[in-house]
Amino acid sequence: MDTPLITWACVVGLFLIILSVRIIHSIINGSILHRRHIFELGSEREEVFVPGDTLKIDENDRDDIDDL
Amino acid sequence: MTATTSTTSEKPRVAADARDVCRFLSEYSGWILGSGASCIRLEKNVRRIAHAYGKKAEITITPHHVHISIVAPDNDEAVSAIASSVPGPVSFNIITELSRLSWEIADTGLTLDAARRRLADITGNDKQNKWLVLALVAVANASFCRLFGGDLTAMAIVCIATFAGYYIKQCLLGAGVDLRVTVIVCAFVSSVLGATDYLFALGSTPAITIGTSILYLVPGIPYLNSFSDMLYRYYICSFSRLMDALVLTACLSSGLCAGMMLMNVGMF
Repeated sequence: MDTPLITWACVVGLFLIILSVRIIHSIINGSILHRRHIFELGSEREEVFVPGDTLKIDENDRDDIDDL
Repeated sequence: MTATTSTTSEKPRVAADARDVCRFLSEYSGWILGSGASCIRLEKNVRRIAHAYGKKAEITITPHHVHISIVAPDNDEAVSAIASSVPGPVSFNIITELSRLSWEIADTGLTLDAARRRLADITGNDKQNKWLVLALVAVANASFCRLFGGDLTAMAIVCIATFAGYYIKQCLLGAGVDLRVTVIVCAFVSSVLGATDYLFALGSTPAITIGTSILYLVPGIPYLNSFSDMLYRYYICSFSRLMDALVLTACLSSGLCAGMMLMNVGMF
């Protein structure tokens, strides 16, 4: 009768244990401290590139971000 | 390898030895096939590069190998190589970069040495932030739930179920567990967590919650590639990819059914 609740509790419990162990392991190893940028500002060429586009950098094709 | 730049339009922009071109193209093909490119993409890119180096390429593509023959029209020199598909996850980033490399070779006359260095850069620097991917997959699946008519509670549960399932998928695949076993386990975990809505009567759309909690496991790219290969008449690869996708779908269904049975959720 309580099978669904027991199953649910076991799955949640196991997942939380796995998650905690791996996060603690990552913190101990220091790998979680090497954070990367989630958002970055890229050039227009990096964002919109269609195969066949010219690969030469056009001096006149500047983004506003280039002036910063 | 010696490479010289040619100035005439009839001749290739960069001349290279057929053996070196064949070796480079076999490595290139292994990577692009292993990254999940369709056969037509592989063939177009390989022919483009071979043409840029003044060679003719004949290609046979099988599900896990590529057989390339490079022929130099000027002296009838012919070299063949067989490349194995590089095992790994599907990476649109690598496919895009490798396609870009083929255009770079064709447009600017990149030498073989430079092309090899670029290939090594592309294949060696495809590091994705797994936490970012995990978060984005969870949010994307929650959005799917909304598209199918789920309420906010359902979206939150699907987000958590997807997060848990995808995290376990990353752990199991990282530990070298077979993909089919991984899919069964992840589908089970996600469906059990997705059934939270049924278990505690939290929201008004529990059926949508459990149905959309495993959508991230659907092998969409193999299905699409299979269809693409079929359209371009690469029937062997098409059939192989279709079978792979069907097997994964069967594994996904097994995990989902097991979860629903244990959670006493009616299937029909």
